[in-house]
Amino acid sequence: MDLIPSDDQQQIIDLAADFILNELPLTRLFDAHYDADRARAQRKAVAELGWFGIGLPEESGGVGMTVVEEAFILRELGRVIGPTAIIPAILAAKLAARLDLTELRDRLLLGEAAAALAIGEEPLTASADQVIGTARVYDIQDAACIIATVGNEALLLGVSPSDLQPTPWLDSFTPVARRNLFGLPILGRAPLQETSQNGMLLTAAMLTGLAEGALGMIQEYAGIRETFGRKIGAYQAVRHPIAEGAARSDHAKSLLYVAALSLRDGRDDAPLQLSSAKVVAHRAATRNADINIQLHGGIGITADLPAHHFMKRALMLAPWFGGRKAQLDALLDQPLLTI
Amino acid sequence: MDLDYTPEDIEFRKAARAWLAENVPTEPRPAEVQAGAAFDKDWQRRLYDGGWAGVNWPKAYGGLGLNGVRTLIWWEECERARAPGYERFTIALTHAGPTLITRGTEEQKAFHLEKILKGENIWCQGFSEPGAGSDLAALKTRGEIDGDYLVVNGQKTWTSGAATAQFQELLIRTEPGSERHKGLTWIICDMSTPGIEVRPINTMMGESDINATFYDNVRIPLKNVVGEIGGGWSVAMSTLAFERGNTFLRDQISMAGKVERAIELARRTITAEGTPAIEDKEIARKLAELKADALGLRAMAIMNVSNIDRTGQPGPEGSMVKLLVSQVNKQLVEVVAEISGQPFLDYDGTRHSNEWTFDYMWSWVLTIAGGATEIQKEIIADRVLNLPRSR
Repeated sequence: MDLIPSDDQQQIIDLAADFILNELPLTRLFDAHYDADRARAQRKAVAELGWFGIGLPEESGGVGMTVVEEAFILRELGRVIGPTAIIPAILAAKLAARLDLTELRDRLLLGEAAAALAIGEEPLTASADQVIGTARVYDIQDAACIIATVGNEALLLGVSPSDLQPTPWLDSFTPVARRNLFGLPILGRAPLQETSQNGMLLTAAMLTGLAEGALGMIQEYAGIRETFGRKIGAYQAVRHPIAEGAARSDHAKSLLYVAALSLRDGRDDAPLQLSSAKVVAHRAATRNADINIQLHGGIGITADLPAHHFMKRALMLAPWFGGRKAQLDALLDQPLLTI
Repeated sequence: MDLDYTPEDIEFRKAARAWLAENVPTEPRPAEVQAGAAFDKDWQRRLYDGGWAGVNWPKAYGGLGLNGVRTLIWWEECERARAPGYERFTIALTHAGPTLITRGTEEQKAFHLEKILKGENIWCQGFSEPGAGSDLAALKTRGEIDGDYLVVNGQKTWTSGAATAQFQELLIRTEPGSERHKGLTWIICDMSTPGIEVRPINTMMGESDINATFYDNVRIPLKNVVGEIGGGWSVAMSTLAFERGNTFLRDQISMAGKVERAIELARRTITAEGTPAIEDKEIARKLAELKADALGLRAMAIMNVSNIDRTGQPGPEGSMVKLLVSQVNKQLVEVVAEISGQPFLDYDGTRHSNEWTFDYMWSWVLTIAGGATEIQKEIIADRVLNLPRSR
């Protein structure tokens, strides 16, 4: 039993952190707006690192690692409010591999095409060849397919750019459409569990990173900003909420690691750990985004300072792969693993 | 990274489980102070005779020298068997003993350590004073050197177990005019020394064993000083770090089981509305969220023991654990009060009459004792986050 990343795993984390420091520093978001060309270039760069196939077996064109390494990378991306598009891309590449859609799989892995994620505004239904129901479709840039969860199945729908018109959206770095999924061809379907559990883990990992990133931002500011002749971090009204935020981050991170290992090893308590990890990480991201804005004072609500992006991203990820209420209702009756 | 137990871990668990099944007392711990202490001594002696005393003490000092993972397994099995906790041996096993091991003389170790493990001597802690609780360095109880003795005068408070303890870890000011962390001395005080008076403090729980302790020209041999005269602060701090790393481990890993018991209670409790409490969505979701929190606490425990097994010691993260465990516990007992309704107030002044009600009140002990929540936040801000100092 060991919850500390191995040397090889630490190397993956360090490489990810290094890439992010150069390509996606938090400072890039100061007074920034969505830039389609830049987002496309980022997707290519991420593809070159192999991140879309990090947990996919080598014989399927992936890197041959596991969901644990996926979680490491998503956590690092969360810290800097990195692109969410990697989540549907990872899941769609795995689905495509499972469904023998080799060409789609390879285009996704190379970053030539992207995958979008549909989350129903109402319960989605599916016939033999159609999905019916209105959904928000996330990460539509260059999307060649959409992942939709319907009942007990994960479906891959074919799509072309003209099918998806962006709608004005709070998290401006995630282009989103709203439409009825009727009319989009079903490329394939598979049992839901693998996709939804993997999706919960990736979402929890990004939320954990968001919690840590927001905390890091206010921690730094509290050591610089002065009021009443002192650094604000010296005031208990400021340092205590930050200390609570640190405990929340650590709590979420530990649970994320256990959930990732439980999923990797197919343990009986994986659903319980994953639901718990998502609930705890979402709460940590939400609260830490809150203290980050609040303790910055006036500058915290400006567009220039990226504090608001943590809040918007945490809001956006809330319903991904099961919202808070659904997760809580699911985990209440799940038994603790008895040894 | 893995969540697996080695075959040796599994053997260890089996052995612990078998022994606990045979040896855990069937009768509850008595509420009365002297009888409670006798119960604790019996249990500690039974642990010693069975070869289970001092699970994380070094082997060289009679402990089992268990690594972090095995310590975790031990507490999991204790919780499963509903075995007694440290109770009156908390100070001896988690503060005083480890302090003697790291800072005591050979003579002090030889005299005291085995007697702790054998359940012969209960220890109490003489740190807090009426004017020095969270601000421990403000303490004023003084000791003056007189030949081979320190003569102690003053008052300590919140002394849990003082009425039943044989020894006390006592922190006093030995340099006249010294301030704050300087001029303090950590000394072993025999509680039977003339001049010590113990007065019980009644608490809101009814049942309790905390006291005010008064010292009137109490003569303690200088050979009982641990560390240097005037070097008491660093000796005291070596114990407190150990406390936060270990004392809460059982609470931490048993929280998920405690939440399950609350869920069971909610299933079988019919509310004033005539329906099972669990059918109230608000209650059900609060319990579910606490279950998630409890699993997170267990994950932190695994992270903590992983760190101990890599580096040999717990980090300052212990303060985060203490903060979260005591907060989750408080939220849980508040939900249980809501589930129970009026019968929650059925209470006769002892924990046996209503464990949940006792726990509800005890939740403030957990957020105040051993470094209050507000102090834990200061420690996190200072030592984990390196924020500008508030003091």
